[in-house]
Amino acid sequence: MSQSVTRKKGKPKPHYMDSVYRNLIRMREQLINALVVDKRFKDKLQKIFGKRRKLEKNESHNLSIKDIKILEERLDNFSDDIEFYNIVRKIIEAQKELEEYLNKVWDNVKSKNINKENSVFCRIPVDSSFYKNYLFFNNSKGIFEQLEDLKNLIDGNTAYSEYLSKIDKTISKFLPSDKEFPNISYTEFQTEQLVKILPYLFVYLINFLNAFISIRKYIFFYSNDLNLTYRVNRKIKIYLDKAERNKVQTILRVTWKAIIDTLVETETEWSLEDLYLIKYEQVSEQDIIGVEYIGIQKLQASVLKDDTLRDALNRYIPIKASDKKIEKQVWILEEFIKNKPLLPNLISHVRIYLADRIRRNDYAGKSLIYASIVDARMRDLKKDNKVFGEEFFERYVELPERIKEEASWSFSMAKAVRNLFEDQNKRRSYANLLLTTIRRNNKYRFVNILLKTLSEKKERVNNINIIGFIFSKILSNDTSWKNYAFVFVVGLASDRGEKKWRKLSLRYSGL
Amino acid sequence: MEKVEFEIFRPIKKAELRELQDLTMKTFSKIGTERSRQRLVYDLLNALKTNNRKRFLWLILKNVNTLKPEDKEKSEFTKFLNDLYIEHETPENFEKVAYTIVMGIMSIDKDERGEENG
Repeated sequence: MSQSVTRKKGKPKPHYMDSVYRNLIRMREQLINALVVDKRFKDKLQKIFGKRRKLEKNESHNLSIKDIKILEERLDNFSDDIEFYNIVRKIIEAQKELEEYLNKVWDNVKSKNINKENSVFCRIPVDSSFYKNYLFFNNSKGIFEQLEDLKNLIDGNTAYSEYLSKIDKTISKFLPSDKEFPNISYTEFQTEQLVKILPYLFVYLINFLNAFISIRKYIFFYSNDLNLTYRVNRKIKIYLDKAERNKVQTILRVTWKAIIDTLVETETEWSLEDLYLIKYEQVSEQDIIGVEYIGIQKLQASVLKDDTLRDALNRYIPIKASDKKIEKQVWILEEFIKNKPLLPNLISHVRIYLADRIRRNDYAGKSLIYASIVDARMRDLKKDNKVFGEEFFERYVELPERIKEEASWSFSMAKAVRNLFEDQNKRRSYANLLLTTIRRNNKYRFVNILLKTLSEKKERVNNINIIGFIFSKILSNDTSWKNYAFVFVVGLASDRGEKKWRKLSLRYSGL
Repeated sequence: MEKVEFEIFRPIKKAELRELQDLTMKTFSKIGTERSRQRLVYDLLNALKTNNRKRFLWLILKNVNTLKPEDKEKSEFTKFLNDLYIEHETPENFEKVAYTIVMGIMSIDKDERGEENG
């Protein structure tokens, strides 16, 4: 509080040369120092501020204006100690006198009766490494210029200054500078029309960086729905605090979790393809470093919109474990959003389950079939190699339905192949055998083994259905046969009872 | 020298395989008994497992040859198979064609069963 006045080095700021102000400050400081130093009052001060409170710092008192207010409130409790009472009362009076004097000075400032130097001294102490020279952030601006700038910025008065007439790197570091892109026909990007639609454009822009959540890097979730944007960002912050404690989840995982959870909670009508995650590493002098924009692709978005598919993919599966202890797990949804192939992880999961390295409850069952079919469809679509095909413009409307139809067929296949064996141990060793051929990418060996088993079994109708599936989805399919072959393995590996599979295949076949 | 690329062997289409499967069902439903067909499937799968293409074809042709000359499926099946081999002469395609035939034979039971039930 008093350091500016009492400092010994350097020339005092012009405003501090005001002798009345200096005297008032000196008087108050002397009184407070006398109170704090006096050992007789130590107990009382501790009673008021607590035992742990340090009352002295650097050979001076350590009280703030707030503390003086506290002393004032509790003064009547100490009326029995007249000496203490009098000193405190004097401090309060000195403070009031100082405040009155400063209010008078401020009244002068308000009536604009001050010189330029004092106006700069009285400026609103805002500073930003970003907007160094932008309007009121500029250090050479006096208080009135600042207020004028601020008023025009809030009002969106584009005619006021060149700064407000256009949008470029000066206001948002995520934008290019006019000079860097002189050949782009729309630079300078004029704000006049934009402000008519969005009156507080500059207020939003100038506050944009505050929206970022700091966690080693800075991240911000963006959507075109303000409420959704706010909710998701708030959730990300809560999740990140938890993740800090657990130290297991990646930032990206936490973020997607927040997005998905919020969407599920709010049941918003949303279009996922308009969601973005903006990330930057650090701010340097008037610039930002390591900026990344991560969006959800249309293809993925169309699948995530579907409740059944999203629920099925929204699951963690262990892919590495020993002695029933999970060493590594993946979140299927995250891999999917990142556009990574799902099958290798699904295979690893079933492998460790068949090797009895995870508990029965950790086995993902139905999610595996969904994930495998989703992955298959993604592969097929990628194979077409047409980024802007018909499907793209129709936003893959039919894709979730098609996936669910195939999943339903796959559920009945998983059940059918399960019924080929009575004994659970035989099922599991057969599942292992089939899984090996999938992992070795040996389609015909897989078909051979399965057909041989079918030819030995008596259940003909059942067999014919399986043969139909093998023909259409495995033998004649070169792109995603493994995903469909995997369905058989999932069915065989599952320990769950007959009823469960019957229920699933009925439910998903729409019966 | 300019590099000229020839696309001699195009990948086999799913529709062609489907047609082959249907024709196999039609042809082999007239050959042998259910038990003999089961044995044939077993032999064919073993031949494929050891990649014995000669034996596979021998088994198929031997069985088709048991049909009477007036059975139109006999020539139809042989001609279709011959065309497929000429057009898609690669090991990959061979296995696709071969397993389609096996599945065709295995699917015959459906019709018989259907008739029995009907």
